[in-house]
Amino acid sequence: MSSQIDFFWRLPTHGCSSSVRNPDLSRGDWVPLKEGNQAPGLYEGVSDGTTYIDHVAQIAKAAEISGFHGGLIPSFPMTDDPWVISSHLARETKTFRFMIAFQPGFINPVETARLTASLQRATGGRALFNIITGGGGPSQLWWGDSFAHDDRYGRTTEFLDILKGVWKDGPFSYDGRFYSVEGGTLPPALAATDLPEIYFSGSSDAALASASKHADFYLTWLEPFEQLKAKFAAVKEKTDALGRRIKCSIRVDLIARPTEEEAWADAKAGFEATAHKRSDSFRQASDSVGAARQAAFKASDAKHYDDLIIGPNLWTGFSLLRGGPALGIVGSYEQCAERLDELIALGADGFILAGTPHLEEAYRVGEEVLPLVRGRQASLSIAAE
Amino acid sequence: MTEFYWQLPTGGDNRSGAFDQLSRNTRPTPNATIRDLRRNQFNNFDYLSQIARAAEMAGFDGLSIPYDAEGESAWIVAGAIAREVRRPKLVIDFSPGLGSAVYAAKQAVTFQRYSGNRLGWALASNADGAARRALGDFVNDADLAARLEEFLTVSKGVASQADFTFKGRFFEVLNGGFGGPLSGLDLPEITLSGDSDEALILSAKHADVHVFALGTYDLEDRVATLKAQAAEHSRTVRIAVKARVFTHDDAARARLDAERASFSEDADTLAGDFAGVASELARLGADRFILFAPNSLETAYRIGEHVLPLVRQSQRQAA
Ligand SMILES: Cc1cc2nc3c(=O)[nH]c(=O)nc-3n(C[C@H](O)[C@H](O)[C@H](O)COP(=O)(O)O)c2cc1C
Repeated sequence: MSSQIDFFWRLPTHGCSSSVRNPDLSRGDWVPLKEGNQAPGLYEGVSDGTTYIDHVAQIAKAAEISGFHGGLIPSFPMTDDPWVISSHLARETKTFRFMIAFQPGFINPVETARLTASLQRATGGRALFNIITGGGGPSQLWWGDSFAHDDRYGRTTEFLDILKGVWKDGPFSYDGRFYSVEGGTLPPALAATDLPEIYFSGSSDAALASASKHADFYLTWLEPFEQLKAKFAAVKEKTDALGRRIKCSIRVDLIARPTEEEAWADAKAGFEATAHKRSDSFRQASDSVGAARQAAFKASDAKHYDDLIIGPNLWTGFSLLRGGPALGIVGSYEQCAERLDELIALGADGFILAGTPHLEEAYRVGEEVLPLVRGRQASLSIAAE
Repeated sequence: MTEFYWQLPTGGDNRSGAFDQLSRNTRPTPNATIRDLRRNQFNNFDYLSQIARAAEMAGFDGLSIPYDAEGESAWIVAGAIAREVRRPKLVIDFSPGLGSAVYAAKQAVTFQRYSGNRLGWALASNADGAARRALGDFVNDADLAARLEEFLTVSKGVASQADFTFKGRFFEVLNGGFGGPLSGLDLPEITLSGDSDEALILSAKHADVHVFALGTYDLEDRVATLKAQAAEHSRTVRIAVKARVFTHDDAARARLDAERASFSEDADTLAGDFAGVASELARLGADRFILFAPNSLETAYRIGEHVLPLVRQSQRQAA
C-alpha cells in the first residue's frame, strides 16, 4: 500500500459564496441575478449567457492545477447532477478526477456500468464514485425511494456486486433481493476501461458491512479525533477479515489563513453574518447515523462563535455557514497542516478538502497548506512522542 | 421549416474502430518506418466530438445520439459534446426502465440549465425481453407502454410542479418537485417511435415528435393515422423520418458507395446525387429528418454543403 496521501477538493453543486465572512451565495443562479453575481452574471443589464457549469469549470481547473486529484461532486435535492457535471467537463480538464456522489437505488447497476465506462472513455479513466446510501426521511421519499435504512445498504451491496460483475466478468447473471440481471455485459471497448475507484460513505454498522466488501476508500466527515481513530480501526479490521485492503479518507472544510488570528476572525465574521437566520442543515429528519453525530454538536444553539471550539483548531460551526457537516479546521497554514498530519497518524490515507470560496481557496490550500503536509514522516515523529 | 438532425455513430462507424485501436494499443504502428505519436491519445469520443462539430458547422439543427448495445452511453456522449457544440439540439435515446424517473428528470434539468434547454429524450425500451433482462430490466412486454406513461407522468411532474406526489406500479414519489433554479425549465422534447397501432396511440397522447424509418410500410397512411389520433387529443405530433444517406454530385457514385457499404438494398437507404436526394426529402415532406451514414464525418459535410442549401432554398421560394 502506498504511503502517499491522496488529496481531493470538492465541487459545490448548488452555488458558492464569494466569502466565508459573508456566506450569502453569489455564484450561481440560486440567488436572483444582480450586478457582481457570477455564472450567470449581469452584463449591460442582461444575463451574460454564462451558466453555473462555467463557474464549476473554473473550480475544477483551479483544483487540478493546484495539485488536487479531483473533486467530490455532491448530489442532493437542490443541487445539480454530478453525472451531467462530469460529462460536461470531461473534455476541458486534464487530470481532474470526477468523484460522483451516487445513491445506487437511482439508476440500475447495468446502466450505471455503461454510463461509468463511457465516462472513463470520455475522460481517459478519471471517473470514480462516492457511494452514498441516503439519509432517509422526507428527502429519500422526495427522490422516490421508500426503502428503509438497512435495506438501502443491502441494495448498495447488490448494486456493486452487479456493477463489477457486468464490467469485468460478463456475461454476468445475478438474482438478488433488489436487482437481477441475465447475461449482462459491456461492449469490449467499454469493458476494457478500469473500474472506477470506490469511495464509500456511511457510519452505521450496515454501512461498514457494505463498505468492507466493496470500497477502496472508506470516507467519513471529520469527527473528534479519538472517535475517528476507533472508526478507522474498525473499518480496517472488518475489511482485513475479508482478505481485502481498504484506505480511509476524511471530508473536511478548512479556514486556512496566514495567521491563526485571521482564521478565527473569519470564522467569527461568518458566524455573526448568519446569526439572523440561524439554521443547522443537519438537524433534519433523517435516519443517518453519521448525520446524527454531526447534529449532536448542536451548533445552532451557540451564542458565540467560540462556544463551538472543541479542540485546537477544531470548530463545529461550519454547518451554520453552508449545508454540510459541522466540524472543520480553523487555523494558520502551519496549524492546518499539523492537524492533517495528526489525522494521517491516526489512520487517514486521504482527504477531501474544501473552503469558501471554492475557487480561490483551491489555489490557497494547494499553494499554502499542501506543501506543509509531512504525511507519514510526521506520523513517525508523532508516534514517537 | 424542415429540421435536419444528424445521427452520431455512438457504436462506431468505419473510422472509430481505428481510433479505439490506437487508444488501446492493440494494434502495431500501421507503418513502422513512420514515427507515430498518437498512441493512447485518442478514442471514439474524439471522433464523435468532431462529427458533432461537423454537423453544427454544416448547418444541422440537432444531433440524434442513439443507444447502441455495442456503443457508448448516449447520456455521456451528449454531456461530453454539449460545451463544444453550442447551437444544435441534443436528442438522446433513453430507456425509461433503467432507473428512477425522478433521477432522470433531475439529470435532464441540470442538462437543460447548462445547455440552454437543448436536451431531448427519444424514449424506448428494448423490444426484446432477453435483451432487456441483460440490462437488468425484467418488465413484461405487456407493461412497457404503461411504464413509459408513468415515467412521463413522474418526470414531467417533478420538473414542473412543487409538492408532486405519485404512487404507481413502477415509480413513486412523495412531496417531490424541483425548486429554485431547477424549476421552470423546458422539459426535454419527447420523441417516440414505432409503426404498430399501439405505438401510434402512445405517441398521439405523449410524443412531441414521432420517428418513422424511411421505407416504413404504408408510411403516408401511418402518418395520417397518427395525426388524426393526435387531433383527437387536441395535440399535434411532428413527424420525423430517419434515413441512411449516400450522396455525391454523380448519382452513380452515390449508388456505388451504397453498394460498397452493403446498404444499397436496405429500405432505409437513400442514395442519389445532391439534387435527387434533396427532391426526395422534399417529396417525403417530414417535419424533421434524422440522417446518418457509415462515413459520418464526410457525409455530414456533403449534405450540409450540397443538399441542405437546395432544400432550404426551395422551401424559402415556396414560402
Ligand atoms: C463524506 C460524505 C459525503 C456525503 N455526500 C452525500 C451526498 O452528496 N448526497 C447525499 O444525499 N448524502 C450524502 N452523504 C450522506 C449519506 O448519503 C448517508 O446519509 C449517510 O452517510 C448515512 O449513512 P449512515 O446512517 O450509515 O451514517 C454523505 C456522507 C458522507 C459521510
